[in-house]
Amino acid sequence: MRFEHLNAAYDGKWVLQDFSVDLPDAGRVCFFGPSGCGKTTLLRHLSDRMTQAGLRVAWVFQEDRLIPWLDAWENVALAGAGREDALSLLTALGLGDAAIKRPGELSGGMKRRVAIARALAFQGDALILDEPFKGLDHTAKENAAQLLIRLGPPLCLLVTHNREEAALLSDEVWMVDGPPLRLVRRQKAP
Amino acid sequence: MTPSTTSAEKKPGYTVFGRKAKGGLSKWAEAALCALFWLLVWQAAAAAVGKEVLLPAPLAVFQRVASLAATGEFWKTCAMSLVRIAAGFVLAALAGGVIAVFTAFVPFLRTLFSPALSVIRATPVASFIVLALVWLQSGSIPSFTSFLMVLPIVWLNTHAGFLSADGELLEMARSFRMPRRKVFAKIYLPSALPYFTAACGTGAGMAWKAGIAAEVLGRTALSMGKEIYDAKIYLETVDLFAWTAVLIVISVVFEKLMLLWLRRMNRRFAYGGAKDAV
Repeated sequence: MRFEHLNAAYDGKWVLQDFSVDLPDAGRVCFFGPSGCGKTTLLRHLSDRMTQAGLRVAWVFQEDRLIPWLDAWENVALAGAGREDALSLLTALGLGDAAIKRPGELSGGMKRRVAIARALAFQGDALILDEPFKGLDHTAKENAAQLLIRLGPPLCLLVTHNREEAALLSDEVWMVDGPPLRLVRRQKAP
Repeated sequence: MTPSTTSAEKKPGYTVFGRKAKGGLSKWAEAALCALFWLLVWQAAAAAVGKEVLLPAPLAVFQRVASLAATGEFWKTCAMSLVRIAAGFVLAALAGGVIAVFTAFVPFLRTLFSPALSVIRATPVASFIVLALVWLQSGSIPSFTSFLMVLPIVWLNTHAGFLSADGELLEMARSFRMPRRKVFAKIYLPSALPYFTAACGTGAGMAWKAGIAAEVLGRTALSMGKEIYDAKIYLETVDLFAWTAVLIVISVVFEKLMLLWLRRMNRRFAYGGAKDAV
């Protein structure tokens, strides 16, 4: 999949300037770079282009974006899963007991895992993860990464500035810098 | 080692769940003391004036309320006023909520309804009552007046509630291709519910004031407003105070019960914190 001429500017400052990129049809690509270099903006634009091309794109947003007045399982079910599937996903992520709690009653790490469960429940063609393991301990990160690899769609795009997270989930790491965003080099994940 | 203290304990008189906090009074004891203070002020003022026709003493008023309450007519009068005003209020709350849905999501309708809203808000309640005297039968004037007073409050607030829906949640809903009906039910409606509740709280007071004013001017049969009007005509100041006291009690109870129910709805369906608190 080739995405060409991506442009974005905030307050007159280019974040993406005529940026073009070739993505594999399948694989887990991590965009690794410093905060504020334009990684999230790139993901938004890639998501828009993929959606326009008819693909279903699931997101794990940088903020959890859970609906505060719904239980954890209801938040997961909103992505199109039934109650049983939502509960299974939450249980697989170690949240079986928290399924009937509201986001306000969950810790930051638990909310993150609910957001991951929601993204998996969507069963999209691509999955975009923006700092997906923020607030998770090492075991929870490993568990979530394994579940994402097992149940996630063929194409996963991940943004992080944490090496451990990049290594856990991706099979290819693209080093980026900016703004405006530029690709520095591509390498296999360690 | 200093024992840990909560912020509630640090403030004297601060109550925790209505119970007595360290060094303070309970909520109810505080309220009773305040009520007693104002009754004493009233009693002192009545004694100073010395004429029941100008300012009756609290005891005389309570005795009159008790004697009125012993008659069936009193309860019928209260019930009829309550039904009329509550009907206007409920209809206005429903209509305001429905119109807010349309104006929040269809910009043209917002423009279309705005002048009507401005006219209703700017027109004195007395003008509406007089107009209603020409148009309507006496029995429906209080409902009509309450309806007109409450409608713009509920409409404007609920409209603002819909517009306050979290943009990030809406973006999430688009990403996950949530059907429109679900987005409305799960994001927009719960976002507007606290605004609707606040509007109903304000509107209930307005409904009673406007509704009773309409009963007074329309001299509606079997109404608290007519009793107040008659008390004024025959200079029965004790009756005026008695009916006003009854009216205050009924309107406060009405408002509290309605808000209690709406707040339960908020906790269940909107942002009301932990479910356990329900």
